[in-house]
Amino acid sequence: MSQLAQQLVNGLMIGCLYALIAVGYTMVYGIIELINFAFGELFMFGAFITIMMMSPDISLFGQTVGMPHLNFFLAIIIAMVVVGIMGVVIERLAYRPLRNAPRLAALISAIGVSILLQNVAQAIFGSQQVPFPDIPLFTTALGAPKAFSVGSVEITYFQVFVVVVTVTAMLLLNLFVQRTRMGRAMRASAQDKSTSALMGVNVNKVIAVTFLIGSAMGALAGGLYGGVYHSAWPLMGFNPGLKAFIAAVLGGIGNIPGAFLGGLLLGVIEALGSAYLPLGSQYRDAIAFVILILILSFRPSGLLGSTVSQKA
Amino acid sequence: MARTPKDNQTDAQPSGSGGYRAKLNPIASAMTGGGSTRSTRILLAVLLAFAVILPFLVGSNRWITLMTVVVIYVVLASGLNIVVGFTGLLDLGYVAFYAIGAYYTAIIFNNVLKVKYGVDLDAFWWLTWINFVVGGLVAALAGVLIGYPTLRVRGDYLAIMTLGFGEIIRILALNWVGLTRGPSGISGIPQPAILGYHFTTQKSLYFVGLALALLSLWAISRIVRSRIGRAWTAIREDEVAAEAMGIHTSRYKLLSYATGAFFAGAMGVFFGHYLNYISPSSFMLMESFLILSLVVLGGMGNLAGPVLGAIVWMGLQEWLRDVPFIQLHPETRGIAMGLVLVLLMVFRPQGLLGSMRVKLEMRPGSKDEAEREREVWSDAGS
Amino acid sequence: MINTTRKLTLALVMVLALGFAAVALAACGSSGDSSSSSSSPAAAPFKVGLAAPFTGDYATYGASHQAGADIAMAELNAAGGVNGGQVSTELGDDLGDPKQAVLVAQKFIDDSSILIVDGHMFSGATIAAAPKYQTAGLPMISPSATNPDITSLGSFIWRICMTDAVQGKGLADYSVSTLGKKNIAIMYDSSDYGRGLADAYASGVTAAGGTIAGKEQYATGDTDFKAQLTKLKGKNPDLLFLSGYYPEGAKIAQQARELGMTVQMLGSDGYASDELPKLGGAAVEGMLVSTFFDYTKADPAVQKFVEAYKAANNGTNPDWFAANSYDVIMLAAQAAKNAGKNDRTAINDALGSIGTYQGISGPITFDANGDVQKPLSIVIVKDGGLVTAPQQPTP
Repeated sequence: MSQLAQQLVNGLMIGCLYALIAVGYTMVYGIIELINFAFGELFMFGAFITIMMMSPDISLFGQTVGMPHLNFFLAIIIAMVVVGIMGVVIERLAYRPLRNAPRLAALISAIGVSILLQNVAQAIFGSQQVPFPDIPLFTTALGAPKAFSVGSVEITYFQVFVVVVTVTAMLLLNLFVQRTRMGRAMRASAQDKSTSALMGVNVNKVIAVTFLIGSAMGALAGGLYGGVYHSAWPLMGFNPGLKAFIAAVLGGIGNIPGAFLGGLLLGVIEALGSAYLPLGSQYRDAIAFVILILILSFRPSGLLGSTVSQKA
Repeated sequence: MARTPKDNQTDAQPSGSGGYRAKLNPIASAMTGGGSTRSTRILLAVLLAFAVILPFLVGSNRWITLMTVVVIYVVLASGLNIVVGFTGLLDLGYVAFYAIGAYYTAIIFNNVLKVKYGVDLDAFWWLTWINFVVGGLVAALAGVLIGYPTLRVRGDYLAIMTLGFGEIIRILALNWVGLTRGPSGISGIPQPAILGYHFTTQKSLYFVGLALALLSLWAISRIVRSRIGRAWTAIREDEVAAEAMGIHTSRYKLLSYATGAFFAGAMGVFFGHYLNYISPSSFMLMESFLILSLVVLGGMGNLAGPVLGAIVWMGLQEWLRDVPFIQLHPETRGIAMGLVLVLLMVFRPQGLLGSMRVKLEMRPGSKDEAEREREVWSDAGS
Repeated sequence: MINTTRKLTLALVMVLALGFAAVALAACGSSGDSSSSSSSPAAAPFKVGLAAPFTGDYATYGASHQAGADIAMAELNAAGGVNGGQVSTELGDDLGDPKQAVLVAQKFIDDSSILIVDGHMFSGATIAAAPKYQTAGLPMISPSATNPDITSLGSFIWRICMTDAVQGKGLADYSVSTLGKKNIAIMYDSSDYGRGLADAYASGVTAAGGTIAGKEQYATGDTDFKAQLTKLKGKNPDLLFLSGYYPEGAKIAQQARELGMTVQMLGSDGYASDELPKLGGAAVEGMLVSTFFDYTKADPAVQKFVEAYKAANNGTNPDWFAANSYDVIMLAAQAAKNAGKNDRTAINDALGSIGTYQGISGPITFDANGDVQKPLSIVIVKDGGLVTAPQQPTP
């Protein structure tokens, strides 16, 4: 029984991270219907920049360079800003020119950006895993993670922090999308770009803001992920990016609460599946896909997605 | 589509990729998706000549190996082109069929014959050739099985489902150690042989591959220009209308998956016998993305597109390997390749040989009226 | 407009095809000889092909591999080269993937100035590439591929590391007899290395009288191990054996601690690197690690290598991949010196008759297959470094 509880806690943890990235994916998809394959790399840069800001120095291009040595919270906010801007730049250069081109062109462009960013990161940070500095608030003097137990279930302070941050981010984002003017513009553009443009919405600006926020979420997820797993490496974004995409689709792509739900669900199912199914841990990734296929078979537009009519 | 007479130097008439019976060589006319002009035929002849003669001119095996790899990817890209380019189904799990063909032949030769029955593999040289077809058929069957659940799903949901299937196959190969030997892979797959003559040199293996490729391309061009191909194009252009016109879209979609899978499976068999060794790491998700990139890069819905895409990409990749700066900093090769991909897409989104007319029905919702107009009337490049 | 575009594209295609052909033809003239063109035939350069993952997920291993090779190269060149020829290396990036390994093999084979291959590092890549080297008669010495089948692939295929079967048994005896552990849990990597070693270890443990509390698998590249660890925690093991590589190992240790597990951990040779404490931090303190190379060993040859390595690599200590890579090149150089000439076949023959070569990773004696017997050492993570463990396996 306590095993189950522990596994649930584990699953919730990963689920929150998936949820954060999934939301970034789904926001972008909702507006320009692009599977942003480069998103995992933005997540990765978020982790690296957080590390950079937190360390006293870091090896860039093989040279040791002095760094601000800030605290974690400031570092991650900086990472969010920087990666947000990166996202906007990428959109401007690699996706906007293709907005009226065949859909696949933008997809392949995204793949190209992904390859590019992975290798740029490798050129800058090297190919080895870079350790994530200990966060004093969450680490004991001996270097162990601060944790508490509920029964025989161990929960670390940082895990709690991740959950709190995720939920807060979701709530704030939801508020933004539902209550602000920009949010309304975003929802309108997601529904129908040209009509929104006719209504006076600056669609280009809306898309840029979407990328800004979505990428910032990705960076937040990356910084937290780095903290949870204590390291960052250039190829770390591929798998989480893929999982997040699955989560977004699970929840109904383009649907923000759906992405959140999908992420949590995926995390928990993965954890429970690998714990309780025979050979579960080996086939863990396959479990995610099987769940996806099953759900899509019965609800072709995802859990919270609306069934869109084929033709106008 | 208007064509000025001077461009049409033969009695063939222009046609869309959807099909028009050309009076000339079907490959030539189908290849460019447009009219078969003399310049096209010359081009094809030149390419074919290069393909055949180059191995004899080039001294080093390394380039022959590269050409063999190119040939494999040409067929893979062409096969995926059937599903993505002609039928408009975004398949992101294509590499699974390639894997199925490869594992099929590996398991037959290694697990069954060698281990279980202990026979001398030499005596079974004929099985290799049969396996090209059988492996293809096994993959085709998988294509149907995988395609079936995707029938109800549209656009990007379809994409992720196919991606899921592709990954499931790979994860199975990785973990079902009893069958596939897991990450260790299966080695000892015999090289192709005919009646005692073994294809052991790079050159001879290349020609086997080339022969397979030419056969495959010919078959693909015939299928695409038949009624089936026309049905596929109809499905791509407007599925609802196609259904209304009496085309059983489900059946044709499954056929599309199966056909695409067949060629991937056949090449998988060749890959196994060429390398004498296969492992799950050759069938990663990135491969599916790569093959898709080749199709888009070259130009979709167009038979020559994937061919060119494969040649350009593989050639560039290998050529870059030798650049001194890149020798010192290997990760810059990836940067260059990524950059090339993005730039090529931004500046030529229809692909090198593509026509703007080809569109892909991928999203479930409605389209902009203006966009629709532009597509119907656009004539750029076709 | 249609016609020009069509013509342009056709022209583009022809240009590309011709360009490709031109490059190929150019390549046929110079079959990759970019090395020195010394006039005197006696000073044939001693060029080594380094086959390893230099980019991608496993680039860390390639970096060590190259760093070790560079030390050997510098040392040999400072002493006047091999048989008068300067030592140089050529990189072949196999990304740890068999398909790439074959392309690398082809490249090395075609370059006639390459006399020997130091690599490949991973078993999968080695198995794919070895038959090519064998057919072409290019000797290949792997510093780290442990799959038992490898050396049976031919007379030109050698390795200087222990196989999984031997290491597994050795560690099992160490765990049960020397450390006195009875209820042992195993977490293993699904690669042929991790799995093979775990299997050998498990049967060794049962043979020595211990019990296996549980065996959990993970994949190289995984980041979350809590599911498996939670399961093992419930079995109350007194030792946790980790069979795999250090990137995952560091996380496994951290997550085990986060789950409140205080069990003693024993890592396989893939963990023997300073990267382990660097990535693992406090969580890996006290972890025992099996290694083929102990950089704190008070042997003058070992320390000379360590000093040179640290000087060239920002003070980092060498891991056994670097040490074995160094040994491969020094061994090959010795074979070439014994043969008296820088030639592929001569070197291969000389390897066969080299007897016992004293490498910094231990004495190297090839058996009939091309395998070696090496002693096993155990180090312990202490204060961010790896030092000789208090208890060593009985030889």
